[in-house]
Amino acid sequence: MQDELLNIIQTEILDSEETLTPDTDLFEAGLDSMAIMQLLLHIEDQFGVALEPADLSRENFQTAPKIVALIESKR
Amino acid sequence: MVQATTSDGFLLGLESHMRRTGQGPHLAATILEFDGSLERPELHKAADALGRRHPLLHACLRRSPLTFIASWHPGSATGIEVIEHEGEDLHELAARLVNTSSIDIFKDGPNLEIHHLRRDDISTLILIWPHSLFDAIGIDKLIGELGSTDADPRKDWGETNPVTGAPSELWKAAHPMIEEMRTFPAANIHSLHQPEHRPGKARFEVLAFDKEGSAAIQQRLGEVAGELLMVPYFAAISARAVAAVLRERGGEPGSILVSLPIQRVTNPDKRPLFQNHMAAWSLLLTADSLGNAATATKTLYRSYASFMKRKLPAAMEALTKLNERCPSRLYLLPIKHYLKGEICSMFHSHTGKLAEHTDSLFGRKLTNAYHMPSVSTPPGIGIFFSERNQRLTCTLSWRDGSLSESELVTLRQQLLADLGTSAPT
Repeated sequence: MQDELLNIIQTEILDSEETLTPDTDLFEAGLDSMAIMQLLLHIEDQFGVALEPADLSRENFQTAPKIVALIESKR
Repeated sequence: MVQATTSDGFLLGLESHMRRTGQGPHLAATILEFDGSLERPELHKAADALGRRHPLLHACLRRSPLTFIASWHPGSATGIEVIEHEGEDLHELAARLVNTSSIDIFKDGPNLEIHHLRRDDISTLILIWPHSLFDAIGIDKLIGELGSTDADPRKDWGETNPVTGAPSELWKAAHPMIEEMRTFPAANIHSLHQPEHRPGKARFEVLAFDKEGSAAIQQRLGEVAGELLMVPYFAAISARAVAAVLRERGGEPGSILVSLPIQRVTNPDKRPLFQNHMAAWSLLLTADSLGNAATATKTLYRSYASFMKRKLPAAMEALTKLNERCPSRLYLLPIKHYLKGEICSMFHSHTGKLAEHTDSLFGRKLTNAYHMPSVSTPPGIGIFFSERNQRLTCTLSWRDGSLSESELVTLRQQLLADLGTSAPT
């Protein structure tokens, strides 16, 4: 799931040439409010999880492993 | 010569509408506040270099007599003069400059004015620019290079019109968006435009929150929408403020159609300095979804998700591409037809962190930065947000004739109530 998530963020959301790794700070890589909205749609479509407002914190979206942990906790 | 983007085409239609209805050109002011008095010789030297560096700052927009597609024709690269002001009220001066500027995108000459206001030994820069040549990202990039004295002419405009195809293919691709527009009349959409009033001057009110007020707003955002759903939250509460004014006017409660600018270039490093590279997404908030900020935010997010899932962004791109040959005075006619005279209910944007990478300029620290964009009527109202140094600024922009003084109070009160803070002093 982590690799799939990183690939979506890198190619479909950020259009980044920089390779994202599990340690990459996604906000520093360019994840802004619009990109978060796209990411939430991907998470719903690909992983079947709809996140609640309380889940949408910088802490939970800082890195790919943190997003994976959040998705897993909601399944 | 550089071809206008499809977004420029939309703005050209809007500019044409504004000029034909006596609203003048579509200009915006960007305000840069400093912690002291700027080094004037450095400022003047950099402004001179800026003008020489970018021929597009002297370009005019013309349609080809053969293809009828608009292009920017660069003028001769000359320096930009800094105009000095002393002791005036900042926002009154900025409003006056927007309303009286000689910038004209259809004529050769500078497309940027730099004004330097000094008051009580504090400097503020006011940049006046045409919306047809820059979007908010472009002007942010321009701030980033304002201090440079490099005068070598550049050609660093980027092409971001990804859509191509024969008109028949484009029509097919655009069809879902046309179908979407056909659903709008049933939604009873209104703006603050009042056809019985002649459109007047551009008016502004700037709510520049301090760090404490901004932190309170951030906390409310976290509670209502989650701290990362900034875009739909600020759009939703802006829609609620417009709805509050419409309620006060009486009549049936209608829907609010938010025109949300979405950057087409997702990678910030690849976003060009010049021209518009936004797609305007039309997202609907029905009257029953405007009851509270949380519901309105969730509905707007769902509206965004639905727009994405139905692949309407691509349809919108095809539609704007199809329209690029359309004469400017006819450009807005279809949407005005579907919306019964309206374009949308309001203009809105949250441009995020402004001048994030510029700490100081001309010897002084940059303490705050925000935009004051003029708006057309209809819709007669724009509510714009940006951030700088953990401070949020909200600019209310309207046209005389679209919002009375008492309605401005209603608009401001509703906005502040949703933001969870009081008006900055």
